[in-house]
Amino acid sequence: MKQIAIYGKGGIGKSTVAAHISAALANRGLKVMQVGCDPKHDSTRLLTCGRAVVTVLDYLQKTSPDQRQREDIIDVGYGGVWCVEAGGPKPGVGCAGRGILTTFDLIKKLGVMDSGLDVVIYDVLGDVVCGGFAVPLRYEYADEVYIVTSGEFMSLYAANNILKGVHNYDIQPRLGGLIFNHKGLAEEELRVQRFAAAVGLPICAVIPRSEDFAIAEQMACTLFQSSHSKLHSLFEDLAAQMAAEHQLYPAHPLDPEQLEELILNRYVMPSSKDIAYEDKASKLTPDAPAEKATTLLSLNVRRREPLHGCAFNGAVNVAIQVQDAVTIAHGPRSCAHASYQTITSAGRKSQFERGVSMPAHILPPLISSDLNEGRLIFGGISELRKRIIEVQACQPRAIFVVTTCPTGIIGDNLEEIMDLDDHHKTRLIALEADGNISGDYLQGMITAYVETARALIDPHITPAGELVNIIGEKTIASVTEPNLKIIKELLRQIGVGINCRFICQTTVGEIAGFKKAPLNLLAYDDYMGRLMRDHLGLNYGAEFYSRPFPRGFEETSRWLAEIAAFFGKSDLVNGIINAYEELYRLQIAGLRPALEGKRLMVVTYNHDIDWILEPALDLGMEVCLVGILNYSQDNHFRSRFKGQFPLIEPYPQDRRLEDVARLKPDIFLSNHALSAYDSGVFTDVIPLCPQVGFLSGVDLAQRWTQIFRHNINEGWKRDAALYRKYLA
Amino acid sequence: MRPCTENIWPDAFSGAIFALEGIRDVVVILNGPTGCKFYHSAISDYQYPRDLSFDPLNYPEIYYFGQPRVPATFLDGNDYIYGAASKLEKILQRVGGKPQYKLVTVVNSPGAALIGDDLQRLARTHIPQVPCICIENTGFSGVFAEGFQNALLQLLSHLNPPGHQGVEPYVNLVGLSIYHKHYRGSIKELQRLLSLCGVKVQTTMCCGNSLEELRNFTRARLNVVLDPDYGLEVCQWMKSHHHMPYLLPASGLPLGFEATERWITQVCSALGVNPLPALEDIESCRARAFLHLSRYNSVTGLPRGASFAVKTEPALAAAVTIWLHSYLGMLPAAIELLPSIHHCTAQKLEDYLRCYGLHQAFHSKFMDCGADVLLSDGNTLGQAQLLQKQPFCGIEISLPSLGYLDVVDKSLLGASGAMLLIEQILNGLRFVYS
Ligand code: SF4
Repeated sequence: MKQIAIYGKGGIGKSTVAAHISAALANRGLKVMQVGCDPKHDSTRLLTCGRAVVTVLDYLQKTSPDQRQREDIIDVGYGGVWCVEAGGPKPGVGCAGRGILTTFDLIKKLGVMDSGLDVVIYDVLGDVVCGGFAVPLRYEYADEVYIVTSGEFMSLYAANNILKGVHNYDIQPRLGGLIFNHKGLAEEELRVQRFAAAVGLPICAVIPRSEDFAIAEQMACTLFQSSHSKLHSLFEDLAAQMAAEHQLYPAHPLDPEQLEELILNRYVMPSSKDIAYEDKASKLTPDAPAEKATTLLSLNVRRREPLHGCAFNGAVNVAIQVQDAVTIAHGPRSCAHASYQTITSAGRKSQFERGVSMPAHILPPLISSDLNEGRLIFGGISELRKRIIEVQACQPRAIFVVTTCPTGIIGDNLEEIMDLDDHHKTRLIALEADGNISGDYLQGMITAYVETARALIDPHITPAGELVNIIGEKTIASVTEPNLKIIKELLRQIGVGINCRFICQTTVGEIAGFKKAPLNLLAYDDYMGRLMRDHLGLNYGAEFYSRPFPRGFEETSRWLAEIAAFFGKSDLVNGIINAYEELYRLQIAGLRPALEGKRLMVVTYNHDIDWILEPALDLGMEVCLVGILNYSQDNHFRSRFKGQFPLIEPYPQDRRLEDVARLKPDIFLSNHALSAYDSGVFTDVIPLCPQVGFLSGVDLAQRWTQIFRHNINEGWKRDAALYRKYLA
Repeated sequence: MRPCTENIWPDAFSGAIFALEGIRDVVVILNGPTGCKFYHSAISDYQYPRDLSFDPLNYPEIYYFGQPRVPATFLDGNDYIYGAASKLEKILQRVGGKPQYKLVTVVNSPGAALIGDDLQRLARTHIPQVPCICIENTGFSGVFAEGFQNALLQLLSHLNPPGHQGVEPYVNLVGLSIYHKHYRGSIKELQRLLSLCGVKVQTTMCCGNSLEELRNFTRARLNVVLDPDYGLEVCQWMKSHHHMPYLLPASGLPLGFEATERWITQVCSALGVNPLPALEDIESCRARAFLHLSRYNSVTGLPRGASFAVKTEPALAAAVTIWLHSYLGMLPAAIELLPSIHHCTAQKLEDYLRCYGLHQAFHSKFMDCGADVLLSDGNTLGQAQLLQKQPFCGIEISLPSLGYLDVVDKSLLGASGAMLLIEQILNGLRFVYS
């Protein structure tokens, strides 16, 4: 079987040429199939006498997988030619390239290629040379490639692009040559000849302009059926040439400058890369308004690092925190599934380990628009509208729609659903994360924060009362709720309440009333926290307290005193701090006998570890090394104890074992314990999100005391060899 | 606001990844963003642990992103426009060259599947010496089991097995994945029962076999389908391409005593071996179960009449429902089935319920009607705990898990699976009826 791909710019007449080649090949007694790879699906029209062929993509949409049959997608046309049309979406929607991929997939699955065919002709649109339209160029398909072109510049430009596509795929020569289809333009022939010579291809056929084609078109049949045209022999010769063994050529595409010079016969300006850029700013008139910087980017995106996670997932994780809203993941189910399981894994863990129910993480208000292949080819907006209307019936206060990579790639436009936004009942908030096209997980969170604030915060409210908002809690950290409890209690003791947690376990109403709180508290002073602080300050006049949630005795004392001062409650603070101080001193005294003089080594991503160093130093421990790992989200290591311990920052990951062996610490602290396989040292884990409040560090030290007091040595750690023997 | 959401089940994309991840020395390269990678790597590592620590510093290589499984090309927006050939080239050379991998597989993420890079060509060009299969499109929102079977089929058709030998009484168990609850224990249990009758399990396909073990699938005399959604097409393929007979036991999954007895009897009779040793073993388990059931029943009258609800895939739901009803005398209140490929299993279950006038359960949901026992996945159980006012007992029969760490392998299938279910039900009902 020989497979031949015929490429060419849309409208150049390649379908007419392809149909005549198929017909001529069939007249030679060959069993031929023609596959139209153009969403217009009129490639085989002349062969089927104008009969509309059921397109493969329409068929796939309407027929369940177990009922699909080869015969259903094949129409038998002139000369017994099997006619198949891929079909595809309307221009501007969906993904026609994916449609071609799907068509080839089905053809293969249904065993069409194993049906004793002699020749398969692929008639392929060549304006778009994305992966989908390039499928016929794959080695399992086209053995030969022909390009139909006229002498118009755009047609030759498309021909050159096709050559580039072939070039990318080729290991061995596969080009048969050009088929020149006259448009009747001046010097057209010369241009095509120049192009053919430059790219090293023969012109296999020259098809003149002829009234015969118009007549055949009108009668919806090939010239072989409509007339005794002189052109019969032209296609018969071409078909004979194709059917025989002949020389094939490699692809040598021209670069754009060469192409213009060659075809338009003119001097081409040097390309922009050869010209030094002018300073655009100097061209601005003095009174041109400066653009306000509004695009907030995650560090990952700004630094163009490999993206960690996808913006879709980040946006979903924020959106589901709004308890009276529903989030629709717009895309295939796999995206919603991965997101859903990530969210619920925190909820299941909390429920299982601590019996604490985190409703947003147990029953996240998330559904999927479940786009299938058909929807992705033809566009998913209508399916999405249906989902929104279904969800509206549950009467949420808001619906978030978050887009995934596939819906971003096919370009589903969320503007088209915004007519469903109902300001009085259910707000509709579009979060165009486009999977990871817009960035990483944190970029998605930023998008969700910004768009939710824009849609929901009531700008007319003025701050009043003794209330604070909490900003930037880590929604999936297991410590978030226990920490909130501690903070809430500290605030309660100075008579301050919480207005809105932006955005964690909150409601549409609480976000709307965001501006009621005169003061805002950052949960974490990391990149994301600072970004949100600046954004909410700039756009909503939010006033922030300068420090994040406190850890350890010293920090918590100051935090509480300064917040109390803001609300004019300083008189309440001393009594509270004194009571905690007494407790802290008592606990340190109890722990000292077990830990004094012990050597502590810390390697961590955490950039604020004073809450560990404070009790360690108060306990008289020796901090023999602190290594700070590089972590792109937060690069501000600081310590009020600097100078009292050796510090390596950034700490190279692979030095751990060497340093442990050299320094022989009694305790090695890290975010993950060293594997029992590689070390004999006692290791403990620092949580990435630690506990807040006066006693955070002391609670950690309590664990170590137990271990030293009882001189615990785990027998299982001696079984590494057994692991190697039986399981590794 | 009325709750209108429920657990979101995995689709064919995950099915394909978990099929291939279930083979010991195969690497699955995900041609896609880390957004798709992190979850699949975490689940694969959890379900089929092969590394000692969660410490990301142990997996510093760029494509692994601190995880031990499923290296990825970390595609971004540019790659969707320009194609991912250069990233693929690098990852294929770096990861594909590792000696511990006997086969490289490349699976496109949903986004990558749309742009159509020619994976096979890239693999042929950049790692010509390494066997490689590429799955360009696993399907969008398709049934999990379909993705599983398609991937397995692609893998099997790539292997070059020896001709069908089938002399020894060896079987392949087809239709379990590493994404099945207690898959390891279930396989061990079936292996145990079969070995009592002198039958050896050649492969379980995607549940921890090496590629070499899998390649020798033709040594088995018989392929046994466990769940048709996960294994029937594969067995049909092995029949047409390797002339291997297969058995789709009429009793369905070997879950519960009677179904296990029928299953063993059918397998043994197809192989011409004596099922008695296994049947005796099952009998002794039944005796023990009887002791406990009798004592429990004498005090409480239960489990007879206690109600139950099931939400899972059809084959498992059918096996559980029929057994709890026919053996323990429990009453189905709600049966919710996940999407499947073969609708006949669901139909059989509905027919069974209709026979006893219980088919109403087919149209009821646990969240609406409640029940004493709910058998489902961890998410559904957690949600029920949040929403259900009435006490109930939850039993995990599907993933995801609520988080209980199983150090001892447990089984859902076979005699010990039946014992485990009885144990969980009896203890659970004590809580419900206390
Ligand atoms: S396809 Fe894109 S949106 Fe979906 S999970 Fe993967 S990275 Fe995220």
